[in-house]
Amino acid sequence: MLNKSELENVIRGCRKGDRYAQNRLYRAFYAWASAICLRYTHDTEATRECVQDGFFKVFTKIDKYGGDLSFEAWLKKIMVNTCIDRYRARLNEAATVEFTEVHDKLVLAETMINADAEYLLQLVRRLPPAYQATFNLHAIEGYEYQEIADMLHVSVGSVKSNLFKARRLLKEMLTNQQLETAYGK
Amino acid sequence: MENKDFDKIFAYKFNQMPGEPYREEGWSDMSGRIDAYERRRWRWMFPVLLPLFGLLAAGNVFWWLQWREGAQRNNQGSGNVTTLLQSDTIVQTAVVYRYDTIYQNITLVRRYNIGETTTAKHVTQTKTSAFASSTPAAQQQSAAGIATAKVENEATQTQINLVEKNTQGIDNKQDIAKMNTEPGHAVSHQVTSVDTSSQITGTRVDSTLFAADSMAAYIQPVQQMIPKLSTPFFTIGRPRLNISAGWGNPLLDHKRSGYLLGAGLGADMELMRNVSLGADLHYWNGKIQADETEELLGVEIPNPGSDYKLKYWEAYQLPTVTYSFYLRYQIPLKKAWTPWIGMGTQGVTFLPFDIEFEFENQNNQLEIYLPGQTKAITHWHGMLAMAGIEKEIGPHFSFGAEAWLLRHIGKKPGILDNQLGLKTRLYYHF
Repeated sequence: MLNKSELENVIRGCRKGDRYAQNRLYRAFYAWASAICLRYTHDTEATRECVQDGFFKVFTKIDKYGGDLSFEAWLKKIMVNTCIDRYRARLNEAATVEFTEVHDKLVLAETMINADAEYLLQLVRRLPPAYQATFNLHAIEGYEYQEIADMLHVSVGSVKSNLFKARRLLKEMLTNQQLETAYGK
Repeated sequence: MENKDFDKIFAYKFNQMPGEPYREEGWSDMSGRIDAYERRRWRWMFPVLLPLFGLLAAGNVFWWLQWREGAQRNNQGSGNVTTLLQSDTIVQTAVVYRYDTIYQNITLVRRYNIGETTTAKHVTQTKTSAFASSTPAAQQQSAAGIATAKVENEATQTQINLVEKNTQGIDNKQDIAKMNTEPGHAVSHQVTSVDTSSQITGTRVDSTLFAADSMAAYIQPVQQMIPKLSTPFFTIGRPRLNISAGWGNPLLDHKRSGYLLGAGLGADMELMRNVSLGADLHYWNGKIQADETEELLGVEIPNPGSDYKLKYWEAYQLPTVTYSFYLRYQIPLKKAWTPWIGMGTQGVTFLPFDIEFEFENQNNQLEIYLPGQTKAITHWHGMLAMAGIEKEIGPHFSFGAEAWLLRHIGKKPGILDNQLGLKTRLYYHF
């Protein structure tokens, strides 16, 4: 990562179209940006495409960065929006998921705490796109229902519903995994 | 488990996740996309700018034509000046002023003491007479006018002051002949012929030479011929300042593309007739892309390994300051546009700039970009050859356009040491 003055210099260079500055920015934020895009995509290739599209927007729209947000926040917003734009067509796909009631809350908590990030990511990636996006935006990024509704062009009710279903599916997957491990199923 | 806690665990775990590390292929792809975007971004401007430039050019041509027409009208009008005093005296002054080949300044002054009622008539007739128009009808009218004047006022006094400064001696017959062919210069011829001989001999003007004009009897040379002063070899003077804008095309052996645009200040001063010494300070910026690095003097070239071969290097900003001194010779043509040629020398300071090198792996065609940066470098650029034209556009201003060629004299030229360019200047004369 770059320190504050370096970042300012790099942003100034990017505004002038300086390729060296653009390379420094890309180098500095590539891993960070790809960690964001990972959560909204279903495979590595799609993640890379989102990162590339996001950085392309950053370089071509950097004049619009006014400094009211931190650069990281601005970059994150662009990356998230890029991922959502990419999957917007699939966001409204009807999810036909059947739920089973999760009874054992203790098992769930234990599983989650012990699970590594990679495993949780795989679970989130198994969600339908609309659930995945809603869950990420609310649980990870911290957006409010209304903001998510605006971003996804859906109603607040849909957001709440999708979020509920996303959580329930994740809990179910986590519990089943724990039970499978415990009883060797 | 509460939903909040559930979400928090996910958020915590995800925020710990490292993303995918930086990939050179990713940057290579990105760089290409940005290049394509920048090319596309300016493409729309051509259909807009082209008609705009066309309009500007047409406007300039129109303005110039109007200006020229006005100037021609003024020149025609300034050949003679007629002053009328509406009292009982009419004074007419005719001035013929001709530069260079003949320095001739002839003033004819006539005074008529006439009555108020006939003033207008005499004015017309006297004017015709004074200019001795070459047409017979006009001469008759002229004679009639004089006769009328004599009849109406016996006390008419005529005084013709002749002042002639002849810089070319007697060799001006051809020019005088030319003048004679133009309406309104006939008197000049008569006066010149008479005056040259009369002033040299110091005798009165013979009235017979002014056959159609009875005023000839009163002609007296009132001023002796002023001898021409010899011009000194060195005539330091005529200082001028100028602002300029220019375009430069770097002539690199392996250039892919590149240009410079700049603006500057300059000054010049005349050293001797038509020769002046000038100095310029110019700021340039531009971009350049080339295949080879041999002209990149003082720049550290990165070495990514033997598998990699340089594809090209590129500098997106190339800020430089140049300072030049030159001598120019103004070709003395009596045209609206004055041509000139010049020679000089130029130095340059490269301000620090970034360079990007693109290498390609010979085995797998993987491209990598390596950045580099230069330090400020100052060195002698080369010799300048210039040629241009200039035109006065006002009492204190001139406009000029010029082409220039910069050549490095030496074995190892730098990236901008050989250039061909154009400049326009706006001069201010003190």
